[in-house]
Amino acid sequence: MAWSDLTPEERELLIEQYLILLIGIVDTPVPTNLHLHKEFFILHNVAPDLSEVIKFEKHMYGPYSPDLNEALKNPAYYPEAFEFYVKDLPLVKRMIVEISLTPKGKAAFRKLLKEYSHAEPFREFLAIAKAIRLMYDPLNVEELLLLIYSTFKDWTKYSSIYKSLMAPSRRKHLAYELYKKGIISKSKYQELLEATP
Amino acid sequence: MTKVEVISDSTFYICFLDDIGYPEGLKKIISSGEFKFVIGPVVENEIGKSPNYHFIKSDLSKVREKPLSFNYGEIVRPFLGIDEIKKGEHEVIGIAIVYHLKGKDFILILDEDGPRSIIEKKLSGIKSKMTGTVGFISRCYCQYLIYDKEEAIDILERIRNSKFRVQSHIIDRILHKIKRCGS
Repeated sequence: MAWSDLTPEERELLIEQYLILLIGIVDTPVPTNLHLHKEFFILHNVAPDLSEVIKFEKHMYGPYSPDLNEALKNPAYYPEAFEFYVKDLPLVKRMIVEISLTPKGKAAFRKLLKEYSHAEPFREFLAIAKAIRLMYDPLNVEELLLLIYSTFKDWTKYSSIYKSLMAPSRRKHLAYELYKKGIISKSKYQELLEATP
Repeated sequence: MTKVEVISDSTFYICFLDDIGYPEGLKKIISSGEFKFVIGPVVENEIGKSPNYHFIKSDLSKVREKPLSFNYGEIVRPFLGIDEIKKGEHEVIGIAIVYHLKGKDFILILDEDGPRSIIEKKLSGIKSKMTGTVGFISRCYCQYLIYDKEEAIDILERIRNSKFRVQSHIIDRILHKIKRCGS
């Protein structure tokens, strides 16, 4: 069956399963809801089939998926699978933070592994999901948004903080921090310094 | 015999094909039976642009391992510059990270400073698997016995006098290592 032939219910189920996999693949919680959406956005760029399942919109903080938001807050197939807190952050008010799996969610994660781990593409997908978590979780919200905005400029259209983040002094400071920590290459650092909002 | 998987950026291949004009040297590595070459579509496209690609195309296809149909480079695209992405450096790093997380053993050949620096600072688990083109050539003599000493030295001297970007002191260091091998 092609991804595009999925019924709404099948899509909903798959989104919840993908969510369980991305959250469960690393023992530590996903730092914020922004991380979750941006990491899924990267994941759907890596695995193009996913774009048939999870839709992204241009949102006030860049790429955002209402499907994902709904699955996290009101899971239909895996009730009580996810837990998180709500916190005010300097850049974003009322942010969902520390997203993790409950014991029920962890059981669902293990079941999915048992069911699909025989398949090479599934194991590859898990390694990709883990790679994304390990690369993006350590970024703070500003660093994350700067990298996403500067790489995917088409997705900044409705961003409420794009201009302030790209203001020269803030952008240069963040770019320097990212370069100093070894997160970005010198070439990317130069691009960030020379970027125009 | 288990073949060692080699994940390399395009500069390694282009070094032999175009920079030093010695595709035979690359052909020896490819045909040695020691390696499988993991090549994604971006790097394949870059190598395919070489006017000398036909020298290795057939042999390479026999030992090429195609990664699964994921866009591995997208994992690290935001961390690299546009020029690095055009060359496929993001694809090489993405594949290397995934292979590493799957517990696979491999050799990573990377020559560009930017991607190397990210691996050295942020991906320490992969650092020990990483080498550059000239470092790999020394292994092809010292470890895999693909070249004899004279040929390995000749290739390095050709590289020194080519447009391939490597500092002369690094070539000196590798030459010193080669001269000590087997003695």
